[in-house]
Amino acid sequence: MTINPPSPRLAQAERAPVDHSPLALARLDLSRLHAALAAREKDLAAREAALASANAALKKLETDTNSRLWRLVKRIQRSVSVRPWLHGLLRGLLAAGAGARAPAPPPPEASLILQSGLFDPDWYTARNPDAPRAPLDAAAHYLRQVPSRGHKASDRLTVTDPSPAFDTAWYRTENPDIGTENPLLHYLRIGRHSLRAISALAKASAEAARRQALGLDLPPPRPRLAIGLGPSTRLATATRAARSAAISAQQAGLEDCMLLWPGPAAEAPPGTTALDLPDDMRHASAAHDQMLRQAAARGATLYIAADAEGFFAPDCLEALLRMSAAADNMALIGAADFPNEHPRHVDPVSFETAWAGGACLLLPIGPVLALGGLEPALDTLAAVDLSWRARQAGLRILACPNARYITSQAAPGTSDWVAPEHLLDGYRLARLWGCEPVAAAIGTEIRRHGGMPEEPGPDPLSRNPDLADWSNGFCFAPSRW
Amino acid sequence: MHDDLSDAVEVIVRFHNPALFEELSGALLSLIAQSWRPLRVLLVTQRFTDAQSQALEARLAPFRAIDPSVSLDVVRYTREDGLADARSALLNAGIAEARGRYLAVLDYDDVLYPEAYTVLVNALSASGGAVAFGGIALKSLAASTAVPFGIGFARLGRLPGQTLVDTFRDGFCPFHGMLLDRSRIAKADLWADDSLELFEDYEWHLRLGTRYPFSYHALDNIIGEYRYKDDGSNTVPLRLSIDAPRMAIWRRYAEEIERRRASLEIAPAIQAGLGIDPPLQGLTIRGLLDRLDRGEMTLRQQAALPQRVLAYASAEVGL
Repeated sequence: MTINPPSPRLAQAERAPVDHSPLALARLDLSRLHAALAAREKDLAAREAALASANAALKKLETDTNSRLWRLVKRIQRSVSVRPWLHGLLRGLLAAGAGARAPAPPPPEASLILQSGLFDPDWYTARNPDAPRAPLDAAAHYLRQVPSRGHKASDRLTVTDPSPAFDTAWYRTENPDIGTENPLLHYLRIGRHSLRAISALAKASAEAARRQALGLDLPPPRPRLAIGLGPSTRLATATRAARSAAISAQQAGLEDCMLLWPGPAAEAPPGTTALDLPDDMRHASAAHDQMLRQAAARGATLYIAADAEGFFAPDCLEALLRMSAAADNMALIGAADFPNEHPRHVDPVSFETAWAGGACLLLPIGPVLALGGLEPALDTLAAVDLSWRARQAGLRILACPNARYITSQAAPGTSDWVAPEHLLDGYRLARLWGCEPVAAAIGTEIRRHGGMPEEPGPDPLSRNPDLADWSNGFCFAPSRW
Repeated sequence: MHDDLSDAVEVIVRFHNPALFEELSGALLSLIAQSWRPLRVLLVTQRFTDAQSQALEARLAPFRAIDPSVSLDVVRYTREDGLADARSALLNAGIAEARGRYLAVLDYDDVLYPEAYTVLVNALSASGGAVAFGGIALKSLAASTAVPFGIGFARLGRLPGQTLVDTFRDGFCPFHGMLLDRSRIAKADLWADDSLELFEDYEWHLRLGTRYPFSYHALDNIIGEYRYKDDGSNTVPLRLSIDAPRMAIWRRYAEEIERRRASLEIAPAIQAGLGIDPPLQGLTIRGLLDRLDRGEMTLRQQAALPQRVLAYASAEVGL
């Protein structure tokens, strides 16, 4: 047993049949169409209301031809030297009236860019006097005005930037695959999903924030570190894990790193301290919980729970320790499962994530003990449980992309591996967090496969059901792929 | 390390720039993690100076120490003549050093999953093929100097294709998805064309494919990743436009590949495997493709790709 969270292959296996069957795809398309239709109807209603209001205003003006405002409008129409903004206002006003006869609806993309937060109507119209004032119309104006081709890399199209945040010319230069598409639309359709920046400043800021989050500019941390290897019956792989831990500790400059082994000395990999835990503490979460407490007793401040089936990259420990130091040693930090990362979402700048885990997990000993340690009633989902509790207590949950822990995870979708133990663990997790509907659903699934849900033991810990997030099933986070 | 290399998988890793060690480290780690033993890595360096070679040895030391059962040998290619990009010559240097039964290639910036060679050896054993291919997923990474390995954001499935004819049409099998059984291939046929700066892997597949049986049964298994970084550093950049000089080189080598299609004749045994009975004398790859395109020939039904691979390949995100 390990304290690994659900593996990529499980996540893939659970999603693939649902996500990609023709029926599911058709349902997905249908639901998207429904959503799009609802959005369009809402937009249409708003526009009709605006149009009715404009028509009413125009009618009032037309019926009151002696009004001072109407005379002013007529005078401006005749004027040769009109002020651009006034001219624009007038055109907009007249267009609103004309619209009752031949409305020209803005393209659907106008709503998209308006809702993106990257189109600032006030900022845009202030720099484009001929643009209509209404936000949606201004967005439509932007879509018509931003040329899609014919600009050299050196062009500075500041006048057509949709907001001070989005640098149109820079984005176009940085992304030559944009073709003839409007840069902002390209960003919203592709760029934001592929972590592209919206300006040179944003790119530099993100990179600086990453450096800070990773602790790259800090002096090399030298904490009291203990590494616990999870139980394993394969001495060769456990020996490799132990050897890699020693190498990585040496690379990190740690001279007194403790390397703990839960089994007896006779079965211990070279270089480890055997704790010879009782048999009932030899499954991963219980073993790591005990090793964490032993590490605390021996003066360690940080503990790394590592799967003995995997091994550390030489630079793994330094990367983890730097990130921990950057977070003031108040974060749960999962190393990157290499080469097959778990598909859960990770913020590409702060590296915050929904749960920390995987085959290698760094824990701040004091805060984790204050939380009650690892839950021995759980197996593969102990890290998810701990992450939820840690967030409740204000700890940060991070994934360190520079810390590679090599695991034996199989390729996603290539195995018929089913995880009855994983379902059982899910049942226990749901019960511990008081999520009875989830527990009932998992229990039904377990029984359908001929199993019997196991009741968790008495829970000494207080858990807030509101923090348990089952919205992504057993992935516990949106997928990044 | 194992002295007996009779069942060894030997992997040629070509490495041309010492500054790219971070990416090389990923390839090496994925090899150390392989479940297959014996395993020997032939790291072929391109024109490294003595100082660069010494620095490389120092950086390799901890990788060697992780698992001594993996042999990690550096092969220095130092010849200054020939093409600036000596990728084919590096392959030949690695082949010259190989002594085991199985041979594979892994580029320094790609990775394999731990079971890759076990899957491919089993595919060779089960099929009797001389060359076996496994599935390689395409993964997109955002480049970042703070994260030297890149930040993964999309998995794009794999390149479409499933048969030898698909290989004849286009190169859909990345080099590191291949394992060949040297006991089933004549030594004289194991060479890379050092006149090519591009498509040397595809030329290899075309040439061997006309003479030796290929197994595609392991395409069902995704055994590794082809990693696209968005800084244009791949040989085949994903999103950055190719500039005119580079495009001209591409066109030149694409034309060269087409000339190979027109000249490489498909051996009768391979034709028989495709269901061409009796075999056509002098049938070239181009001749076969033209006949197929004109509807003048139908081939034996090829095994359909398993549904789950199609589902995986279609799991496109974002792009």
